[in-house]
Amino acid sequence: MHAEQTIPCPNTSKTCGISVAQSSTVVSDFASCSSSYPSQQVCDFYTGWPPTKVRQAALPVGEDPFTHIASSVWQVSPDEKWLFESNHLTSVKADGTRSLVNATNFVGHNGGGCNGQLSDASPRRFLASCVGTHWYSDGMFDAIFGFSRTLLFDVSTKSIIGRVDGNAFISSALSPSGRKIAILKGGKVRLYDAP
Amino acid sequence: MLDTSAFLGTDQNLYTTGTRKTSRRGWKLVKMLACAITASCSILWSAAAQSLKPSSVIDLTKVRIAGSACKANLPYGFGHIEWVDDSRLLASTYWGHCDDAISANPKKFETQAVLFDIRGVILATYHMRACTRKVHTGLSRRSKKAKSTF
Repeated sequence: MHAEQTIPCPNTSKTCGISVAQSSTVVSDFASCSSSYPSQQVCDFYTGWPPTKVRQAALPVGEDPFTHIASSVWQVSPDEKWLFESNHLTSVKADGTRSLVNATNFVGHNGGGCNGQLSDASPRRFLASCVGTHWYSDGMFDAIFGFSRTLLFDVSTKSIIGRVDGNAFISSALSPSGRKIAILKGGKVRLYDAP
Repeated sequence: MLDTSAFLGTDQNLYTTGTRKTSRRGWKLVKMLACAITASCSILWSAAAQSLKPSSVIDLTKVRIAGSACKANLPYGFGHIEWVDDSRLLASTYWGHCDDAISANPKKFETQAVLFDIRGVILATYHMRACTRKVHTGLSRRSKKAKSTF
């Protein structure tokens, strides 16, 4: 590959990140966002190829420039959002009703965290990627072990339809259809076909 | 000879009096064990049923980045992957290590990106020296083209 175009960060900021539009109904293809202030990010929206800037907007930090919800919250259906609360995957209905999608604490009690990814296609699927730690001590020897739990949920039934358990320090990704998972660990990308 | 019945006491009935005479406490223990075994088997079976096996493995350490004098592998722990569509994915790192460091790049780092198909065939590679500014790569699923900016 070679670079066809260089795009400056908004307002000549030194760093910025790119968010890609997941829906074809929006006007722009992607947004380049930089944090100018502690509570605000400035986003430039681009469309076409080569990309042309169509508008600029100031948004709260952490807000997705296209969905306008927090980047750690996923709109799984028109009236339901999923998010991680205390390492538990939680459903929040439009009326504010909260319930656990799954009662398991995927991280454990020694610290860690989870991230998620929602498929583009229907039936919607949700990939939860969690990293936690085990502590070991026998009085003479202390050790810490990292582990990962990658879980694929069917959104409509809230059931786990696939999982990959392993060591920590992974990067995982769900394909747009929700039927393929890629996990990068230790210099290797492993591809999984979800049922 | 030692009389073991003195030590076994009432619990003796639990294990030695046969099925018909098994006490209520014994039944509870048997049922508890059976439930525990069944539950364990159920959980293990369920986890095993959900556990996915890789359909293919792509070894990034064998990837040669076109035109790069830097190390070609995407290092352990710092990589990122993203699907372009269901047949292509992009692996990238911000921390590729360059042996041919120059004064303008004293930290010897560079960004590397590799575009694969699902069989592991390399479709394209990209590299760029990491200078004083971070480099970000992104993808447009709608335009189906990889984009980069810094």
